[in-house]
Amino acid sequence: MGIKVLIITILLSLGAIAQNPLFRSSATFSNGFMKDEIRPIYIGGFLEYFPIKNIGIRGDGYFSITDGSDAKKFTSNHQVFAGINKYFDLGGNFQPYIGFQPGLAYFVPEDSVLRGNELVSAESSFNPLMSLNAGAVLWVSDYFNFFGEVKYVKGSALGNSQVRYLDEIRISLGLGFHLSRK
Amino acid sequence: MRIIAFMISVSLSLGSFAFSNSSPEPPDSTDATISIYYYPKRAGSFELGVRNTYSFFSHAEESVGEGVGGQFRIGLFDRVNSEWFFDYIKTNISDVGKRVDYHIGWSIMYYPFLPKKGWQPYIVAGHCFDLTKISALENPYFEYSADATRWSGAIQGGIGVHRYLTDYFDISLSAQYMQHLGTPLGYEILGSGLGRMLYISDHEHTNENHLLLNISANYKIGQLWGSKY
Repeated sequence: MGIKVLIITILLSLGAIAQNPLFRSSATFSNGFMKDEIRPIYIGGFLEYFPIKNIGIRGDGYFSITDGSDAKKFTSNHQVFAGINKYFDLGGNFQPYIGFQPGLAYFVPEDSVLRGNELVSAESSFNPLMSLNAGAVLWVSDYFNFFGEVKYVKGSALGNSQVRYLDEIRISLGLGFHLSRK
Repeated sequence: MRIIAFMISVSLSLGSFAFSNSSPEPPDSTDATISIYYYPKRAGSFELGVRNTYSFFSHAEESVGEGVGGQFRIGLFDRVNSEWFFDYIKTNISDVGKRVDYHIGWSIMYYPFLPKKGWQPYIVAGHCFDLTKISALENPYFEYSADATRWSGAIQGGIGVHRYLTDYFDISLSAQYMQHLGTPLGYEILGSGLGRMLYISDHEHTNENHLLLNISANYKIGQLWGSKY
């Protein structure tokens, strides 16, 4: 009974007028899928400003807390992004969007590297990234929304050892906060 | 459980309907659905953008360089725009070395056509200052290090296109050929197999030219002079 009421209410919400937010933000956990069965987990957050309706200028930050693999590949893969999302009006409170965000990764490999017979630590590096976003927001009130997003990240890390590929599919889900235009 | 679900439902409904009543449409000037001519008033417009750059070198040993950067644009005339950019590009050299390029420069864009909507092609040419660093990666088979740094200038030119999604926001694609000027920074890859190493040399790969592909997202944030419309 309770679940049915909840579902009906959400469906009713979908028929309401689309949101016209000014700011949107969230902080959540994000899961990544990389090659070699690396499954990193991040604490991620973003702040998005809507200068005009359906265009969001957004900055993201991701703090990696584990690379999620048995053989540790890296200790840090923190990333920041800045770019733009384009939202689409479907006539309800549900809005899909796509976006493009260049970014930068601070990457610290886990392993050391051999220099002849000497073991030296692999150095950290800053590395360019490209990312594409596809997601959707369900605006459920004046201040809160639910969102889901898939982010494709492309890049590679070059320090003092072999290249590490940072290509990744990242999924974020959560509760977001927003302020609307009045 | 039912009570909690009911309360959540009521809250969601209230929030939804409350918003419906309290969120007027934005003024026309901020409404992306209102079409405004963008090109006749390019003069004086100021745009900010972020971009990715992909660098294709003439060196067979180098992979495609991946870069990130940003730019701002100042519209000079209706058919002429200027772009001021910064790029940070890293390139893998056959898994034995890396190349890092920092570009800071400017370009002039000329619009031969002035379509009112959609795609807008342009011709672009300009100049940049360039800092390049080449260094060898660590090698497990022998102790060796090599690195070199060079400051230089470069000229670039090519074509591009804007795709306006609103009057304020565009995605741009461009392809430019860049010719570095000044002292060449060369290298060779010596040896074979696991024994390969990067050797700094002036005798190889001294033709410092590359093809740069850019994709950028840009937002017009204001008007420096003249009116917006």
